[in-house]
Amino acid sequence: MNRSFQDAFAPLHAPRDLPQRVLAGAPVRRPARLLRTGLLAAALAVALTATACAADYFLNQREVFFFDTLQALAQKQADDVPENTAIGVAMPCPAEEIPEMETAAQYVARAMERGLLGEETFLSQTASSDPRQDGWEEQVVRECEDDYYGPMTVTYQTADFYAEEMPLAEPGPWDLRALAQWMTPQEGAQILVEGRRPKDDGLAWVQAHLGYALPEGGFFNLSYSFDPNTNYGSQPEYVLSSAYDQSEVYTTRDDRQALVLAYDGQVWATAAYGSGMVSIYTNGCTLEQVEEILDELNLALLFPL
Amino acid sequence: MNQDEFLALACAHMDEVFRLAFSCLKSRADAEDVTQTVLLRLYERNNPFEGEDHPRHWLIRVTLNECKKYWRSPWRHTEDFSDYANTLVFEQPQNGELFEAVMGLDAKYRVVVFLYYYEGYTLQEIASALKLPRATVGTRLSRARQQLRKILSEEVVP
Repeated sequence: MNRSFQDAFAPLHAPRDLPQRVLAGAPVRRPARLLRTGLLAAALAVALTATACAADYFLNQREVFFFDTLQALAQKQADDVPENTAIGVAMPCPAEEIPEMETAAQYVARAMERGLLGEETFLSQTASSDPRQDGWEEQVVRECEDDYYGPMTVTYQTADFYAEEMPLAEPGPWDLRALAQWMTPQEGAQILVEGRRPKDDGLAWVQAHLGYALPEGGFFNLSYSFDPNTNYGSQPEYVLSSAYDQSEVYTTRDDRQALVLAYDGQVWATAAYGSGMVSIYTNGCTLEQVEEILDELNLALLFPL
Repeated sequence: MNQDEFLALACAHMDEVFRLAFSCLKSRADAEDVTQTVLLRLYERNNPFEGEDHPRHWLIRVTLNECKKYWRSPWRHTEDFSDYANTLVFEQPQNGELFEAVMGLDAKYRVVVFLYYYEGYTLQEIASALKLPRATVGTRLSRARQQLRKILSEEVVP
């Protein structure tokens, strides 16, 4: 080890009470309520909380379990999970304790300006005049060598004015008009990102994020992700946690299930099928309002079975 | 892992984990989040470690994986790097200069520099940890050195 580098980083310290915080948040082991093998991680929001993590999930079981904390479940699986499969858990905490984090618009600006995969090489920037793109007016293309996906061509599209339809390559255009019926799209807070393999133009992954303002204050964020390397199955199962004020599995009008969690004015909802996932995080909606929105999202079209 | 074992390992390694996470993410808040996640995974680990160096290498690998998730994650913490850097107290001014210079590198160079100079990893070990070809690691380290030498003396960056 180089002494100069050791000295340069010496003033950086983790919070002294971090181990105690970890112990305080770790679950009490209760053999009587423990899991069986091959569990699931619950689906969670993409918002980061004070005890943070998450944005990636996986499901591989067919039973519903009940735990005091989602961390109990996720950590039990951690050692069984291949390194590149991410598990995320968010401990609920009051909204005012959530540290400041990027807004949807800031995230979009960061992605458009610098990309999302670390070091990307800028290729082109265009303003689209293709009427089929319906509001997705600015496009930036970059290429990179991603550690996980390999060589990638990444296309970033934003909707300068609100776009009523998201032009997904698979399964097809997604109608978003229902979201704008009672929420206001935040300026510069819509983005659609596609990663493709240059050798065959094959679709590697998709991420989309939309930000909305609520009529009486608060915000609503919706994310969509698609990754052919992931398989959530056709009959997903979810984990309910008593750590939240409300925790239920909701079946939409078009017969798709979503895990819906509420805590201190915040609501998280996630539906995952096959290679796709929709996640919602809102501060200002009730659980019932989020379930109404889920009914309007036409998840059956997004997740054909 | 029992609490005593966990506390001993956590206290011994959490600064190292935090420094690696910070060098990757350039955000104190994100680095703290990652450190907490890594420590939680340490606590929940059931398999015993093999050998004295195993915990350190395991923690580094887990930290790098957690940082990778953050790079892809939306809505990271907003934070001005200078705000945190200005709170740090260095024993010698040149330590602070080196810190600023390293943190001024692109993320892909910072990680390699940190693992090579701070952790003392070989190029092959870095390649294995980052799942990159060894030649790529060598190239990144070489370019990082060039950039650092423009700012710092050769005594600091051999």
